[in-house]
Amino acid sequence: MKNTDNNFENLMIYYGELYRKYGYVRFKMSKFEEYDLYAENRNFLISNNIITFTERNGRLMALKPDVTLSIVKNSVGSGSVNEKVFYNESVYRQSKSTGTFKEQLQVGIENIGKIDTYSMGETVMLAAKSLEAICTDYILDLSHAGVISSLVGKLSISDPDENRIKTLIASRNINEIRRVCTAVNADPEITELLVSVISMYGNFEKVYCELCKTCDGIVERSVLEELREVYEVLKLYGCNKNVNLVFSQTADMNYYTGLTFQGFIPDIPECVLSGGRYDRLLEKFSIDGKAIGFAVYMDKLEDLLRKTPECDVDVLLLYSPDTPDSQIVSAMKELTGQGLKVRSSAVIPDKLRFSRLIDLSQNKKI
Amino acid sequence: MDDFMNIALPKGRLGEKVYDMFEKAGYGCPSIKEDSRKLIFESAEHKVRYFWVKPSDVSIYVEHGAADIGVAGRDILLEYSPDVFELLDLGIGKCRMAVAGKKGFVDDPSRTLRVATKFPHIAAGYYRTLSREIDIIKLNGSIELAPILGLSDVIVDIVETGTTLRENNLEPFYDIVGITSRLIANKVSFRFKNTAINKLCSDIIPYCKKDS
Repeated sequence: MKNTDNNFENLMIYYGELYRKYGYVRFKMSKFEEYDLYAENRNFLISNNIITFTERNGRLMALKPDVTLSIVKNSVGSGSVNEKVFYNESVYRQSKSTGTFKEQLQVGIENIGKIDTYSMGETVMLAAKSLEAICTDYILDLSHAGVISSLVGKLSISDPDENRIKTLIASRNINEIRRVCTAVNADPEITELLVSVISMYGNFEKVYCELCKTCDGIVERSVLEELREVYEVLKLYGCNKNVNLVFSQTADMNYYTGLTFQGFIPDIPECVLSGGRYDRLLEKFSIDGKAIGFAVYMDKLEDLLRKTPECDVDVLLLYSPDTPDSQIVSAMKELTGQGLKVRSSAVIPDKLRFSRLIDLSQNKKI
Repeated sequence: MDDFMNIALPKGRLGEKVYDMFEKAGYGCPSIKEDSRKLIFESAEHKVRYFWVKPSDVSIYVEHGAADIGVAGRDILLEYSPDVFELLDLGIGKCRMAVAGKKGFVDDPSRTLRVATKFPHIAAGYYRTLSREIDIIKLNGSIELAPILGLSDVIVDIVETGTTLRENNLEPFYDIVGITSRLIANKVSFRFKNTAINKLCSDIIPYCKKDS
């Protein structure tokens, strides 16, 4: 399933098969959840605006703005048992630009329980394969929240200033980072280190070497080793070709705790896949375990995958009131048997685009 | 995605200054100065494609990927918070966002302050830090008229030299933030055209005004 026949429906089927192959089972959920679930876990939601309604018994319900919360809430995963699920669900979120709500289709996987470097590597490999199925020229950016948080932590500045810096990191705004750090008396040496780490981008192996040289003794060794080991798993699976390393992925720092990754496809101006470790959410639900997962934002792929066909149907089969049903049935059987899309009709439908007209009333082909 | 770099420039005097900077840095496109009716200008030699857009629309073109990079004022970036990378401070188009009002205006903190502005987000953010209750009156132009006609108590607007304010018997009270033009990039283009964008940045740096 490569570039040639990648349409939307095929891609969804391919994802299901891919995730099943690696032992993931389908998780099906309701479109609604009790509103309390989201009210209690606001920090883990991208947007606080949720569509709510009241059931007859007075319970306040919400159209789900997020899938992971529902999965974690019901998870049986723990420190000793792993749960691997995939989903294919709609979420209801507010558009940032227009403020209107949109239904967004997401496909993704969650691995909850005991997470080691192999299982992280396997998850990232599945992300790479999911991107490759859309386009072979994809880019998969790996990152680790631990790198930026240890650097920002060493700046010795207040929490609100830290948050300001994190927002600036997400837009790679180096000038402003330097300005704010100077204004709040942050450690100048760490500031320069932070700036050089944020400026790094490119091929994993190249950037990893730079990072190790620059941050030796500043960023915890375990963080650096984890990145390396995950990459090695990817390499063994042969999925390391399009993998870059970057440290300006900080938008969801409330949510992600360790390894994070994002996927990009040429000609789609936003990230189409996003994932990472989200251990903090499990702590919130008092689950003894860790978690990693990702989602593919199918709605962003629509323009690329749903090419408007030149014709609505291949054949328009026209019949008259005098045409015997048996003749229509046999013509339909023959044409659909050839794999053609056939519309039967007594009149030529307005605006229908067809490549061939067969008129049974005239008993001739046009 | 072709290998041309799509660049959105802000229409107007500032945009022309920006283009001159790009030209000096080696990204010239002579046709841009010849034909005034055309909307898009290409240089096959330097693999760049320029287009002029309304200054406040530059960040929209870049955020949605219609342009790989563009030049937008910091006022626009602060007001609309587009999801883009901010790569360079070009140091030109220098001005400031300020609170201004009629000469001699005395703020009465016991009542809600009426603020007229084209930048409601910036104005609201500024007064939030002061815990001051305000009413925002969103205008699209001729902001200076508002305090003169009593539509508002003060305005939050861009001040360059202060001449317009002075000529209308107004004066700036406080500066909110300094403003210059910034080079911004679409987050996906930055990844797929990383080498070209990095090269462009380092080619432009020598022409950026340093004292900003």
